[in-house]
Formats: sequence, C-alpha cells, structure tokens
Amino acid sequence: MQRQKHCKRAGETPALPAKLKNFNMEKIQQTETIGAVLVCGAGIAGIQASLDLAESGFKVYLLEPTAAIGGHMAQLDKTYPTDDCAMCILSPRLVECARNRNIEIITLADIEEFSGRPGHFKVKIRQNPRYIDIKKCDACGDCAQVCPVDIPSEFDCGIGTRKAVFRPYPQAIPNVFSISKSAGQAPCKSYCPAGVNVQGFIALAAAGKFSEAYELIRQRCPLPAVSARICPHPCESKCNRSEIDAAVSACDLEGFVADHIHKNPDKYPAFAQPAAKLDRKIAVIGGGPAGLTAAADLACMGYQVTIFEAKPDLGGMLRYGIPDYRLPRKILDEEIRCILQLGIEVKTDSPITKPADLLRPGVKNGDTSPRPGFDAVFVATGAWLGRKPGIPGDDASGVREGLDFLYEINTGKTPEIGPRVLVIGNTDLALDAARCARRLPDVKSVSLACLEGAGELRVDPRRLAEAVEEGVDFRYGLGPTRIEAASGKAIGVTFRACTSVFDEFKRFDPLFDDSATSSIPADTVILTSGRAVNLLRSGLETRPGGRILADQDTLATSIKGIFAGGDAVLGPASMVDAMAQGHRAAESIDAFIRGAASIRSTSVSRASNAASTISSAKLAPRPKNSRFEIRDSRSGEKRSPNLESRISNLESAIAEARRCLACGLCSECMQCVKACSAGAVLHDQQPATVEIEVGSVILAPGFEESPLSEDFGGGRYANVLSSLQFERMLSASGPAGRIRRPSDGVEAKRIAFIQCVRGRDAAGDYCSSICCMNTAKEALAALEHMDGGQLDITIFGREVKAVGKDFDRYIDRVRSEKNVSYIRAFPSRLQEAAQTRNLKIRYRSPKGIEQEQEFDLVVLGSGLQVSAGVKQMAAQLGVQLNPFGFVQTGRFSPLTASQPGIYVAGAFQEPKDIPESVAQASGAAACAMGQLTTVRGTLAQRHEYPWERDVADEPPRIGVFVCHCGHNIASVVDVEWVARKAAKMADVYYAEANMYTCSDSNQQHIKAMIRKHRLNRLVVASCSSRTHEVLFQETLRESALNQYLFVMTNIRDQCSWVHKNDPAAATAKAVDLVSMAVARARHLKAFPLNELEVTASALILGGGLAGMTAGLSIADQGFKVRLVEKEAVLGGLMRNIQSTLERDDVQAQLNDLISKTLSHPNITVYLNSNLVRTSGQVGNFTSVLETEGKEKSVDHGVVIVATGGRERNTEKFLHGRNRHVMTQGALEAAMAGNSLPEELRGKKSAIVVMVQCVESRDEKNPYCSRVCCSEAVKNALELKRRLPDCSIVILNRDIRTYGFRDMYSRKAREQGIRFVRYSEHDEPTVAEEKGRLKIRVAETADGDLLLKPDLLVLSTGISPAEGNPALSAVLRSALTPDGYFLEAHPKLRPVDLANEGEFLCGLAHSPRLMDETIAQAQAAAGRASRVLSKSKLEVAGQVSYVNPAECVACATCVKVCPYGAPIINVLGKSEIQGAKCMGCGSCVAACPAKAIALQHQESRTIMAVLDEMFAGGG
Amino acid sequence: MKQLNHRRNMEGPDAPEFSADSRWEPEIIAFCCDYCAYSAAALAGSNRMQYPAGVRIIHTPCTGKIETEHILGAFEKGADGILVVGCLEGGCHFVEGNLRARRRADRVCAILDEIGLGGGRLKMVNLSDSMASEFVQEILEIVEKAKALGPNPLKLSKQSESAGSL
Repeated sequence: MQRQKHCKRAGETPALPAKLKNFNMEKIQQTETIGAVLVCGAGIAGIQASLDLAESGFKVYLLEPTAAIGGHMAQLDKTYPTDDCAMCILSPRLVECARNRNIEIITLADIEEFSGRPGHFKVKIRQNPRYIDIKKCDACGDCAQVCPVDIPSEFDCGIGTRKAVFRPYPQAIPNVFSISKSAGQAPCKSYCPAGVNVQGFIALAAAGKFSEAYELIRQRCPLPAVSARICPHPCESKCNRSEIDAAVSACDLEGFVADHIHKNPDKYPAFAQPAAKLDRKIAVIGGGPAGLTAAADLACMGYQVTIFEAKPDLGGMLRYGIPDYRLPRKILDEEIRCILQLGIEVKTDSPITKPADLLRPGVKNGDTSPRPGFDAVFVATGAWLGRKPGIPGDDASGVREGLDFLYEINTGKTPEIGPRVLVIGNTDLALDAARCARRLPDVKSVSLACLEGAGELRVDPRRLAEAVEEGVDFRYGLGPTRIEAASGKAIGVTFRACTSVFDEFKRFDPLFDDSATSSIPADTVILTSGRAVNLLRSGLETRPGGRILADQDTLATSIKGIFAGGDAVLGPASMVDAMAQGHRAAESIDAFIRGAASIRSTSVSRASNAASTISSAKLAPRPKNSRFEIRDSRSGEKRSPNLESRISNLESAIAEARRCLACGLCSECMQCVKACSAGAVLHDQQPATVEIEVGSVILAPGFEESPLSEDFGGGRYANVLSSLQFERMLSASGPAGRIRRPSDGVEAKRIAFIQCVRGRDAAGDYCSSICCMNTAKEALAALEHMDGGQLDITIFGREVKAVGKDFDRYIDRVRSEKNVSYIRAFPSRLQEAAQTRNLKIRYRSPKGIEQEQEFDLVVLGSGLQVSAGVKQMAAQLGVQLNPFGFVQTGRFSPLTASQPGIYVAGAFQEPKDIPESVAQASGAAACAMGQLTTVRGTLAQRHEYPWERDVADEPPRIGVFVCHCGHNIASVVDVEWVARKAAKMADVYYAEANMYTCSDSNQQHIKAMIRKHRLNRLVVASCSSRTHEVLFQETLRESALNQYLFVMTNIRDQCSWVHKNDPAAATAKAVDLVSMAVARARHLKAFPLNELEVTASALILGGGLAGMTAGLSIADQGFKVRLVEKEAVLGGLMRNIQSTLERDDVQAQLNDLISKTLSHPNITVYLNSNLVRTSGQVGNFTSVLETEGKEKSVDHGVVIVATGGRERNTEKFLHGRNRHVMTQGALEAAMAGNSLPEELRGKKSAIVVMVQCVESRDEKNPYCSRVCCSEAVKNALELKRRLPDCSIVILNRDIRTYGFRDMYSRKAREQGIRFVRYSEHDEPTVAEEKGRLKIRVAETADGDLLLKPDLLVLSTGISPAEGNPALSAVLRSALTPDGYFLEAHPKLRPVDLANEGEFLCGLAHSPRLMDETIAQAQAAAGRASRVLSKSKLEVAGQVSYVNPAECVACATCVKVCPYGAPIINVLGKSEIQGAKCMGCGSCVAACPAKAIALQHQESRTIMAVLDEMFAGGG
Repeated sequence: MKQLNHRRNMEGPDAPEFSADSRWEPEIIAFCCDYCAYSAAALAGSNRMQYPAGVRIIHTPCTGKIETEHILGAFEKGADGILVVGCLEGGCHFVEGNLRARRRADRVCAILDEIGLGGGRLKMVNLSDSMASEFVQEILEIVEKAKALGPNPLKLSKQSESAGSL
C-alpha cells in the first residue's frame, strides 16, 4: 500500500515503462522531502536538466506532451555558429536519456493536478494513449508501410506528410511508433448507424487497397454492394470536406469498392474463421438485413446459426420491397451467398409464428447448459403490412397499397394498372412505386403527390432527380381528402393544400388550408402511407400498432432468450438502421449466452464518440477539387439510371477517395494490427492517470514559432514559409532535401528573409534573440545546398543581433558571401504575383528610396512565443507569467519561478539559443539539487551486480543469439540457418535464433543458457549496438560476467534492410558477420570498470558574481568550496555596476552575496591568491595556491574557472586626453547613489553623446561584447530620468538589446533619446575645439551630423581577464582566438572545459549580462555536482594502456591526445591516466613504437576479425 | 576464379535454397567511426537503402584509431576496397581524430599506388550521421571503383598458393 501512495495508477497504462515501479518507499516515509524531480518539457533544456539530476543522485520524471523527446532542436538542420548537424549532437543525448535508469520518460502526457509544497509536491499526470505498446514495438516501421492515411507532418511543419501511425523522426526516443487519433470520431463514421468505418475504407481505397476496404466495410455491413445502392448515406451529410467544396462520395466509393470485388472474385476477402466453434445454436427469424447482419456476426463469433425465412428467398425488404433496377438481384444473391458461406443454415418458406417454440426448454428459466434446441432467438421479421390512410373512397377498385404493388413487381408479376397512375406518399417506397409504375408498358402518366413542399422531401435528392428525369410528375404540398370513384372505380383524388408539414421543433405536424382544393385524375391510386408489423400472435409483448417491445440497448424482448430488432421493432426504417440492430442483437445474444454483464463491442471505441470537427485553419491549405460528378459520367442516360457506373474506374475512385481529409486522423482500418508481428498495436488504449510525488519541478517547456504574419502572406501565399519550415526543407532528413517552392516544386533561385515580422513589431515588444543568427545560418545552409548553382539571398532587417560567442565572425562569413545581401530595411508590403506566384517586396532603402524586388520564396523570421498549452500548465502550477506570456523571473534569480520549489530553464524563461538553454538547464538542476540536498540518493537507484566470475583461464565458450526481429531480419535472412551455422563454429557452445532477442523474457533465457552451458562470451546478431549494447551488457553483468565479454553484430541495419532484394547474399553475409563476431569474441578479455574515489570539494577560481554564485550553489549542496580571488576583495566587475535595466539595486545584491559567501560554513575564501599549478584528474585534483608569496596545496574534485573579464580601455575618441570623454563604466560609477558626472552637474539641457562598438567588432576585437547596448540604454534612461531636459544621442552600428531588454530601447526612443547609426567603414570623428568636443557623424539619410556634447561616453566592450593565458597553460585548457576559455562543445557543453572535471562560467566564457552569468554559474555548479555527488566515479574501462617495455618516451601520445591523458612518468615512460582517457584510440594509431593499445580494441581482435572475413574464400 | 567468399556459408545438407549468382562482387570494408559514420549506416538501413552485400562494416571508436597496419593488413588479406568513414571535418567527437585519419589514409593511398595495388581502392570520407544517402553513394562508388580495378591481386596470389598446396 505504501507504494500506492507514491505512485497511484488508475485505469490501464500499458504504455508506461516498468521503471516506474522501482522506488524505495521506506525512505520517502522517513524524510517527507522527496528526492525526485519532475522536469516538464523534453527539449534540449529538459533533457540536460534530467541528465544532470539523474547523474547527481536524483530520480527524474521527464514529462513530454508529444510522442518523443528532443524538442525543436531535433527539427534543426544545423546549429550556429559551428554548423554542427543538430541531430548528430542531439541524438547521443537522447539515447543517454533513454538508458539512464533514473530518468523516467513519460511521453504524451500532461499535468492534470498539482498540489503540495516545495520538497513534496503531488502531481497527477494524464497519460494520453499512444495506441502502441511501448514495450513490444521494435520500431520496424511495418505499420507505417501499410497505413493508408497521410496527414501533414508536425515534425516537418506541414511541408511533408506522415502516416497516422508514425515516429516523428528515425532517432526518436522512445524509439517506438505512435498513432494519432483525433479526440472524436470522423463524422462519417460517427453518423453511420451501423458503425461502418467510412474514413477507414476511404483511406484504404485511396491507397488502392480495395480488398482490404471491402473487408473493413463488411465488418459492419455484411452487404456492401447492396447498401451502396440503397443506403441514404448519412455519412456524407456531415463530411468536413463539404466546408471546402463538396462531401466525399462515400456511398459511391462503397459501391465502387464492392463492385470491384464482385468483378474480381479472386480479390474477395474470405471471412475470418471464428476463433472456436461454439456448441451453441441461435435461431434468426427473418432473412432481411437485420437478420442477415445478426446471423453473420454470430457466425463470426463461432455460434451455429439457422435463419428461418417465411418467403421463398432471403433478403426481406431488400428483395421484395426494392425494385430490381435499383438493386440488381444478382448482387443481392451474391452477397447473401457470401454471408451464408460462414456456415449459416437457412430454412426458407418457414414462417415461425411462435418464436418461443424454437427455444430449447429451460432457457427461459435461466438454464444455459448446451442441449438440443436453440439457445437464443432473434426475431427480425420486418414490417410488411400496408396501412391505409383512412380517407373516404380508399376502398374503391384501382386503389392499391404501395408495398403490395412492389411485391408483385419484384416477384415477377405484372400488376393490373390503369394508364394514369397517382402515387401518394413521401418515402422511398413512394418514389420506387412511382418509378416502377412509370416503367410498366401501359402506363401513360405517373404523378406523385405529397404533403411536403418542393425541396422538403426527405429522400435522396439524386433519386428524386432521377425520378423527375424519368417523367414522374411531382405534386407538392397536397394532402388527400378523398378518392373520387365512379361505379366503384377510382377516377381521381381530391386534395387540400398543405401549408406546412413540420412544426417549429421539426416534428411532423401538418397544417392545411381547406379552402384551397385541387384534384388529380387517376385510374390507379397507389397509397404508401405506412407499414405495420404482422406478429399478432407471436406471444411477445408489443406496442400499439404491432411493433415488438424490445429493450432499447439489449433488444431483449419480454421472453428471456428472445431478442428482436429491425423493422419489427422500429417500424419502417432504413437498411442501415436494420443492420445496426443486427449488430446490437448479436452482441447482446453473445453476452446473454456467456452470462456476461457487459456487452463486448465489435467496433473500436474512442475517448469520445462525438464527431470531430476540423478547424478552418486545417481546411484552408487543401486544394479545391470538386467531387466527382456522377451525373457527368451518365449523360445521355434517361430512363434507367443505373448505379453500376457512378465512379467509372480505379483512377477516379482513388482520386475521389484522396479527397478525404482524414478527420479522425487514424482511420482505424486495422492494417497496422495485421502488419505488426510483435502485436504492439492497441487501438483500444485509453487515457490513464498516474500520480507521482516529487520534491521539485523544473519547467522547460520551450517555445513555439509565432504564427506567420498575415500581412506578409502567412497562410495565404504558398511560397511564404516560416523559419522552421525552411529549416525542415534544408534538412537532410526533411521531406524535400532541396529548396523547392511549395506552389510548384520548382527550385527557388531568389530567396528573401524578412526579420522581425512578428517578434518585435506586432504582438510584443520583445526580441526573440535567435532569429538573426538563425537566418544567417539558414542562408549559408541554403547556399551549400545549391552545389554551386545560382541562388541569391536577401535578408531584410533593421539590425543584426549577433551577440553570442563567435557570432559576429559567423555573420561576417555570411556577409562576405557574394550571394547574400543584407538590406537594412523593414519591407512595407509583400504581394504575390498572380501568375508566377512570385513574391514582390516593397521597401524603403536606407537612403530613403522606395524600391521593389521580386523573389521566388520568402522566409519570415516571426520569432518565438509561448504556446497556449504551456500557459495553461503554468497556471495549473501557480507560476506567474510576464506580460509576454513567458515565465516571470528576476534578474538576480533567473532560474526561479514565482512558486517556491519550481525552477525554469530554456526559452520559456526568455527567448534564447541552445547553449544558453543548456546552461540554464544545468543551472535549474543545480537549484533543485540545492533544495533537495538532504534527500540526494534516496530514490536514485544504484544497481547491484553479482560478483564477477573470473574467466581469464577458461577457454572461450561462446553463446550466439540470432534475432529474427519479427520479420525485419527473418524475412530476408534465414536466421535459423545462421544459428545452425553459428553452432558449428569453433568455440561456440550454444547458438539459437529468437523472435526478439532483446525482449525481457529472452534476457532471462540468455541468463539461463549462460548458466546451463557455462558460457563465458556472448555474441548477439541483431540490430544496432548504439541502442541495444547496454541492454545485453547488463544481462552479462547480471550473469556474473564482465560486460566487455560481449560482441554485437548488426544483421538488421547492415544486412537484411540493405540487402532485402538478395536473400541469399544477405543470409551468407549474416553468417559471415556472425563468424567475424565470434572471432572477435574469442579474443576478448575481461577488464574492470575503473572506480575512483572522489574528493567532494570544488576549487573556484574568481570571486566575482560567477564565482560566488557557483560557490554558494555548490556549498548549499553540502560540498566544500575553495574560492580563490586575485584581488583583496570579492565582487569583481560587479562592483562597478549600480543597477540593472529594470533598476534593481546591484550593489545591495552584491553585498548580500559577499556576506553569504563569507559566512557560509562550507566556503573558504582565499583573497589575493592565484592558482600556481594543478595536477591529477577529475575527482582528484591537487592544486597549489599562492597567497601573498606563500604556497598552499589543496585537494579538490573539480575546478570552476570564473576569472571574469574587464572593461576594455581605449585611447580612441580622445579618451584619457579630454576629461569630457569617459567610458560607460566610468559614467555608471559617476552616477552611483544619486550623483551625476561633474560635466553635467547644474546643466539642465546638457548634450550627451554615446558611441557604441568602440574598439569592438573591429579587426583587433572581432566580437560583440553583448552587454554594451543594454548598458548604454540603461545609462541613457537613467540620465534622462535625472536630467529630463538633457539630449542624448547614441551613435551605433546596431542596437543589440535582445530578449525582453529590447523594450527598453523602444522606451528610450519614446523618451526622445536619439539613435543614430554610423557605418563601420566611416566611424565618427571627434575633435577638440577650445576645450569643447565636436563629433562628426557621416550619416546616410540627412547628410553629415555635427554634435557638440558636454559629455562623450564610450562603450568600449569587454576584454578577457589578463590572467587567462597563464591559467590556460596551468589547466591545459584552450582559449579562443579572442582570449576567452574554450568550452568542450559550444552548443551542448557550454560550461564544461574539454578536460573532465573542469568547468567555466561568467565572463571567462564570453561577455554576458548578470542574469546570464548567474545562470551559467549555477550551471557550472550543476555540472560539478555530477562529480561531487558520487563517492566513487565509475570510469569507462575502455581506455588506452602503455606497454612500458616498448615505450621509447617519444611523447607523440602526449601531443596527440586532446585530453591530456598521457604523461611521461617518473620512470621516463608514457603512462595513460585512465580517468582522463576518453577511449578514442588516437594515441594507439599514432604511437610509432606500437607500445599503446586500446582496451577492447586491441590489434589482435581487429586482425582476428579481418582474418575471419577473408578466411577460406578470400 | 574461386567461389565468392560468402558462398561458403551456404553449403550443407540442409542449406536454404537460393539461386546461385556466380558474378564476382568486390569485398569491401567500411571502417566506420562510432559517431556519425555508424549512425549514417544505420539510417541507410532504416531507410531501406540498398547496396551490394560484399560490404562489411567494421566499427571503430574514432577514425583516428584506425592504424595503418590494419588498412594494409586488410588489403593483404584480400580486401578489394576500403572506405574509411568519419565525422565531418570539425565535427570529430575526439577533436581531430578524423583529420589524422585523413592524413593516414592519404599516406596509405600513396603506398597502394606505389606497390601497384591502386590508391583508388582506399577512400576516406566525412559524413554526418544524417547523411545516409551519401553513405550509400560512397559505398556504391567504392564498389564501382573496385570493380574497375578488378579483384585484389594479393587475394588472387594467395588463392593460387593455397590451390597449389592442395
């Protein structure tokens, strides 16, 4: 029960991984604080936070609303500024996430309820169905191959399609498929009374799978060809396609499918044989549609069915009530014959008056044991009695009842009838009677009179039109009052006018105008006013009028064991209603016989049975394509419109079927169920609720692309794309692979990017931060795609905000491309050319001239926003959002949400790029760790393995397991043969083939075989080692074997899949691959995972904001910190900053930080100190610190470099020579408290000029310092606040305020602060004239500008710390060309240095603002905790080692190794420090003396493999 | 010419019956690094791209690990062509392994030309892990190249030696 408390489940949750079970509940009881964290959103930020937490001793639930983790990064083609392939660098993280036993990935899930307090939250999670068993699916893709439904792919942003059963992308984790279903049914399906899966059979028809389509129809409609001809097809009435043009012709398609099968009997799908024949007998009375449907269903369930039919033939009303020209008898006969093939016994000419007589004695008393007689009876005898309307004269001769008339015709008789026929009625029956009469030879005229007005008749308009075409004279709005007769013979009918038929509630309630009478002469009057049921003495209770009384749901009658349905219960109804009753009867008879309380449904149920509607947005992009006009194909036919040729051929049928919008998404055609050999498809899966308890929550739900601006053609012009759409188009894995115009598929030659189309100008004041760089990247990638072909790219934007590390260099690369032009303008208009669908952009050039340019394709940079779903989640969690919908955080606590215990990371906090998101994620993880530090390790699992068996002295005993992988391998490779061949290989003691070697049960089996045959090496021939190696290695470890005694060979991806057309070669190759693997296995040796003790303390270099923040974060987690500051005081650059843009008091914050740092028991501060040298490796460093000449040695597990930077000094612009010139830093210092710079004191209308990018972004310092624009805007606003009348001009190249800070430059403009752009080639010139400054700016629009400021303020940017080169040498960590420390990977390891255990943050990394520094410092702390939290580090055993006897100490290895692992030791030999070695083997290949080997990859194993490959044959 | 290597795997009393195809297919080794190259090969599989069955992939941590001896050894044992597949330049997960592999491959090409085996039998290519079609393209090219150059003469001489000793 305790477990229940922590992890409650309601309903079935087959999709949840088994990991959920593993908890240590007792510990939870003791502590109350939960050592688990919920991470919402599994983009790169969520993934990073999860990995950091899981590796630091916490249990993680990673919640993702979509089917796979990976987020937007998975959609990217490349990443700036390194042009790394996004998927290449992301994919290993995905796999790492999937493999981590402390991360529980919960996809397709969202939060239902949230309660509790920090440290102990309760979260109710709604798990939406995947419809695929996550444990069984092996991602072979067979389901998608057969799926007939194409829907726009979300992953490809709608520029490609995917199947309804899909995997977003091949590397997706969890690597399983899922099925998308809409919340409700497709309307066609939900409006079919019989439940025919209309969307399903249409989808199958669209795929040309007519046989499958027929089979699907027949599941709910045993007479497909018949129903196509007579069904009123309510399915078409609510078709969403009619919103665009016209409904899909479902009925005609049904007819085409059925006729096609009838014409090609070889394609006829046989009925599935029942699972078991049951020894129970059912009688069905009446062989009409209801009886036949019930009989077919019951026979399919295995019952023995006998149909009793009163008439000579089966078919009921279909045969005797419907004329042959509408329903050809041979079709009816054929379909009935097919049903009877199920083994149904038929007794015709066998009227049953007392159904109870058929029941076996005892049934009525509840005895259901099998004995002779029938176990249940279904009465479906129909409604055959004609009813007269009861008007005067209806007994005259020549007055006939419609059904009798049709019965006569349908039994081959020629009824006696006069030349003038009048039919009275409003039903199909009346129509049929009129048309039959029209065909009789002696008939001259046929009229049909009805109450309804023209257009009110509730009959198929097509049949009505056909009747009119045939010459039936319709008389509307007439109510008969009397039949006129002469000498007992009818001569005509008198009518009164009917003014309305239905009341306001649409109920039948006719009103007449007695004064308006008319008459129609007629020799024969056919009345069709109604039919009654003739079962007066059946013994069953009836309603007035003779209809049998039956339970609405179960169709049970007053006598136990007897059920009734069809017209006999409903009164005259349509065939499809009758079939619906037949199904229901079969289901309840089955339940009755099984004695079950519930009815088992024969159709798939959904969350909601309501018809789904499609939003107009989804309807819009479909090409209009009118419904196949049936009449066209029959032009010329007048008298006998036959339904045979409605859709004339396969092509037109497929084209019509393709008009379907797939409203239900998945069509439930069940093809995937048949295709899946693993049995993983679960169409009936229902949503489930899981309750979890966590100590903390991290929100990383990411962003969505803002919708395209309609002003710029979004949603209207086909060739206007969003940035992500263009990215998918560029991607190698995308649907296009080339840049093709959506309108015509022609390759685009002229592409325009328009920046800031939404982000800053429309919906919000914020800048999305990433678009400028993203566009530059896409431009370069697009050019690369052209392979030298012509492609011109124009980028429209007012500014280029390249504020990140190395970003400006990247922009320079793009600018230097001759085919890319940047135009500094915002277009005023974008229009599509009607013919070419090219796009014309009008804009005002920087010189003020109106211009127009034409493009083939336009990409809009519309920026990022927060999705509605995320906002809703935030509301559920009580998290405050800012006015833009992003989460509200403070500049000093950027990762903390308003709700305690909830932290945030990534674009949800503020729009940002990947490295900043990753850093925030690690930082948010550190925040959660700090909060939950007392419960670290309480829920995280550490697997205990049995003591390893020493096999060093044993001869190899190899076991080989060959996987069928369903039929992925086995359909091509003869796996049994491979296993037999393997069994004969030397040293192989056991070999076998399995269906799924990776399945849980097979792991147990492998363990048993290892024990039984005393195996000491394992070979698995199956799929990719990248995904499955760890699984089998675990099995080995659990079998007391070293994990390295294992070889996996890939006979799927590298054999069966790539040689599927050549089974012989593929099988031979598979044997070869196995023998190579066996050869390798023979030479494998066990070697242990290295374990290293960890010194749980951190050395932090730098006592500024970064160092102190990181130090406090680590110290709060209970680890020791040594903080080294070269100055005599803490604070670094932060001491010079007075406030933030938001006017927070920075000095107060700094003082708080310093006092916390100095008073923290876990922190030791070393002022006036430097790091002299350091040695050791991750977990065990020893460093020497120098404090005022004295050296001290300290041990630590990690190093964090937080050495900061400084404001750049300059001699430009008279700085240092004229006292009116100062830097921004000096200005801010001068404004401390409430003071003003001397120059401005007492001057009300002073002039202040600021110059941006001084000694920045030039040849010497080719980078942007990121902070200066915000600083300038901040100081300008502050000056303006204190001196409202002063004039401020900011001379700039771009104003690079980004994110939410961008609104402050707008605010500055509003307050009259002028921004004047200068060109990088034409810098402002400053001169001094009589002590007064004169600045000349070469301005573009209005000529030169001359300013005479009282104060000139220079934004000089940030320089790296002076000590960086020396420190770089001590730590063996590289610097960038700009002098900052080089991180291990610019995207995904932004705060790691290349050497394990070394981290960086703050200005040591690159220039950045305070909140970014804080996030990065917390990130460094989070990353460091991965090491510090472990008592022992498990280091991969696969490292290089040196044979000292061979080593000549040439130090080649030392030079080659990127990680500094080899050292020359005291013996003068190379020695590789295991903890630093990453196992790449570079040193092995480079060593001239061949003294180095890489474990597990020794030369002997490789040579053995090569020998085996070429042995014998070669 | 002696029967193709892999045919020997199809002998035996209960061997599955396949139509025998006796055309010579070159035997190619593709040394694939654990990162991009191996993934590109796997993606080619999941996209069901087809290439000749004479290709064997040998998985290596990094192309920088591939020793000159192994390449030469493979040729000596009978490989008709060798492809070394690493990450894109600048994208090596071990910083510069692929660049060193490139230099090493160039050297071996020169040796192959020198000893008359043909430097064209060896090629080093750089791929990202999503470049499955390029991977297959490279495979097809090296197969064509090996076909143009004909069977590895070292293999033929080895065969005649073994035939003589029988």
